[in-house]
Amino acid sequence: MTSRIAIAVVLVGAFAAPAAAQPADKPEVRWDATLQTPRNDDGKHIEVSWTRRVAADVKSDADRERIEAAIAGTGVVVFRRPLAAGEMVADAQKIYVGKPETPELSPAFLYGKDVPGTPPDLAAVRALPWYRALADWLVHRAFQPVDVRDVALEPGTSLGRWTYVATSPTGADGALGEPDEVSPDGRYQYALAPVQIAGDKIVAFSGQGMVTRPFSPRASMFHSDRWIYLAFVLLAAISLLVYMQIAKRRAKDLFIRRIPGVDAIEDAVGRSTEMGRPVLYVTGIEEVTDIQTIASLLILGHVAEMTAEYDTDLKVANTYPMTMVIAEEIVRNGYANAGRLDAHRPENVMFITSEQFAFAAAVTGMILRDRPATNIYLGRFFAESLILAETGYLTGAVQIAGTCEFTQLPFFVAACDYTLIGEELYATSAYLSRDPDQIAQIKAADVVKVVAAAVLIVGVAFATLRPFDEASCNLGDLPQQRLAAVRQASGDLTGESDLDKAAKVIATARASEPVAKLSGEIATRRAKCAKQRTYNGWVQTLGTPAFEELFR
Amino acid sequence: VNFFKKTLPLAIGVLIGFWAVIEIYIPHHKVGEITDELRDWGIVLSAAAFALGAVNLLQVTLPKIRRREPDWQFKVVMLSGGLFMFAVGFGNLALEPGPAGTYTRGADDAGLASQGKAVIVFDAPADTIISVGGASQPARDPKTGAPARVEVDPGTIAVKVQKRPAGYKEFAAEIEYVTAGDVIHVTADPPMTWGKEGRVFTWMYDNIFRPCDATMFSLLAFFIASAAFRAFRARNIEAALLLGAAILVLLGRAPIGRAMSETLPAISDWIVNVPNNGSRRAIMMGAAMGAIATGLRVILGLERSHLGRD
Repeated sequence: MTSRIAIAVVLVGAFAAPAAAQPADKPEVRWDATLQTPRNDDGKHIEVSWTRRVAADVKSDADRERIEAAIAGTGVVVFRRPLAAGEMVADAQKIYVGKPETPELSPAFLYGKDVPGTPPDLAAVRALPWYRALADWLVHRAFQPVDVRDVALEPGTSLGRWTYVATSPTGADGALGEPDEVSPDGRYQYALAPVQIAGDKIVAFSGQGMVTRPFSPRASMFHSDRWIYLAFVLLAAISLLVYMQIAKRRAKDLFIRRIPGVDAIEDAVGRSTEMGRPVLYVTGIEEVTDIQTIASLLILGHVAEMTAEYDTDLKVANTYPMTMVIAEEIVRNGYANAGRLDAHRPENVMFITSEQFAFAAAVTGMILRDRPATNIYLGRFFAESLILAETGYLTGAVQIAGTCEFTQLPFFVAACDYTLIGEELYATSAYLSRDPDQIAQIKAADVVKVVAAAVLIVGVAFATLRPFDEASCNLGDLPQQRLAAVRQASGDLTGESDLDKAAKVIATARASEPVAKLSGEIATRRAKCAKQRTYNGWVQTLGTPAFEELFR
Repeated sequence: VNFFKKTLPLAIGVLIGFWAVIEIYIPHHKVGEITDELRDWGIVLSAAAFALGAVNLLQVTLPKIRRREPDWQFKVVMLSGGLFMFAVGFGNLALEPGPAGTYTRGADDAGLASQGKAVIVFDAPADTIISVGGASQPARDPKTGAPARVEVDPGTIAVKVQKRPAGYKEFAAEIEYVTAGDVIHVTADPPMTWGKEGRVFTWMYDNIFRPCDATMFSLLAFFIASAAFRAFRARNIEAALLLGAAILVLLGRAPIGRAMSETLPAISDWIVNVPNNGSRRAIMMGAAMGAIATGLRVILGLERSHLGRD
């Protein structure tokens, strides 16, 4: 036990050894590093950028040129280290990460303390007590310099107390291509050091680098780019609350148009009852997390209630077990609402399979065997939509479909008797409930729709009123022959020359026929450009760029 | 009872629903962590629901087989297939494949040593592929059947031997300290594996399920033809317009249309890009508003039809 304590003490003593000699500490390069959290960040990223300039102390032009060349010819390697809680560190400071012009990272950099860089002297070690000799040997073995050529450097590679982040290509200014991902709630220091690069490998460290001040990433509490979406959601919520109040006072005033497809559901259930055949309900082929599946399940409750009242079998085909579990509960509630819980048959709510075409095959099999008098397809459908709907058509069933999948709507329109298009699917549950509070939500959605339409119209107007490109206010494609004549007279006009400059050149040029013609054309073009500038001013005032930024 | 059946589910729904909305607008990592946790719960619930799905499948199918309902034989095939795939899919828990191969060092080749090269000789079945340092080739010459010999530079050599079909254990080794003149013999015969990636499972999937799946998909072509025939009957003005637009688009997209006139593809593109695209966007926007309203209705607890009436 005593020996172990002694070893620990010696290790600490070895860390505290005097710092190894570094190259002359000339302030030749001025480093400036900027650490910041990206906009709307979750608090797990740090953006690192830096600039390297010749230090103001360097007066000689020759030295300045030499240093500028050195800066331009070297890349920058970036390391990161987390700071322990309460760890005190100096502000930004200069550092040598290794011996200049060698590929070795020094122990002083890697481990924070200087340690013996050469093997202990054997004679001296022999003179030491055995535990001291062992400690010296351990320290020497543990804290060796690291040759970066021997390490497969990848972001996240651990080197002593530092973690390799990236190597930036040559140049005075640089930044990490992607923000550095860190653990949140930590404090970090970055070390930036100039390096010579061959291909994508570091071949040597090259001069003085810097260690940044400690930095903690900050998480944003609001995603500022998404406020417009929030505004729409809030508008919908406020409209909903307002219309609910209206519904409480004057429910009859809330008019919503008839949806023939929804009205047909009850007729179709009645027909099934008369024919003594079941109703088939397909909830789509998406998970229950999909809003269309949710809308479909909400409608299923009403359909279940109807079938219970009419004493007709309801068969529900589901693609996912989770949907099946929820659908079963909803159907049970529908039967309970109708007071016919005894008629509910749980085995009629089926999980088929999650495979798209296997599901289609199973459901078409059910359609052909059971010959339901009514098929209701509500939810998200893909290529199986037409397979189901056409098979149902062949059996002569009344078919009601509804989806927001634009590509499947034509198939349903072609093969089904009624199709709920897009938003009608979402309105159906409220429509069937005949509950004023729920009808209020349809009105609320209408308000949002009106606002969205207004925004669209304004957007179309702004898109049409786009500013002219003022960069085209130059001589452009004016005849080169005339330009040459003017150039000969005075000035050096090209197609890229600004119109104002050209007008000045021509005003001082010797009068000649081509010059006069060019002068007239330039005057016409200048007048047109002036009008364009005025127009651009108007567009700017109207706020096109601000509008574009809003919906970017 | 009412509390556990209605109030509690409604409260949980409202809470989680609000959270789902809030997390979109708050990028803070703590919010993200809680959301991830909730998503994990969702995944666990979904996975657990598959067990219920299997039970439901048995509940629905077994009585139909027992009662000999129409096409009950298909249900026997379905259940047998499901049971077989289940057993095979978990077969890796019970059946461990043997070693895929090994390598040995033979006597040095002086000729190769003088060239500064080493050689790897493969002894593997003809339906295997070998890979040396990333470069692949058959394990045996397709004509002579001679085993592959690959000359390599000294160093560490990565070697792989794998069967062409999926579902076999591959032999992979990093042969270290290969020096000039070394002759290394690799003997490998990748054994069949079990489980989801195993030979039987992948064979059944590739050779039975996939063709059936493709068959169902290909039926769509015939259904499209019959549905189009009905849809394009010009019974009224709207149907006539639909028919006209369909003919123009069909001609514009088919080579014969381009042969007839260069204008037809342009008309076709215009119909697809302008009126069609405009109506598509209108439907999508309406649907988006409806989705927001439905979401709000559920989140605010206004939609209770799924919970039943009091």
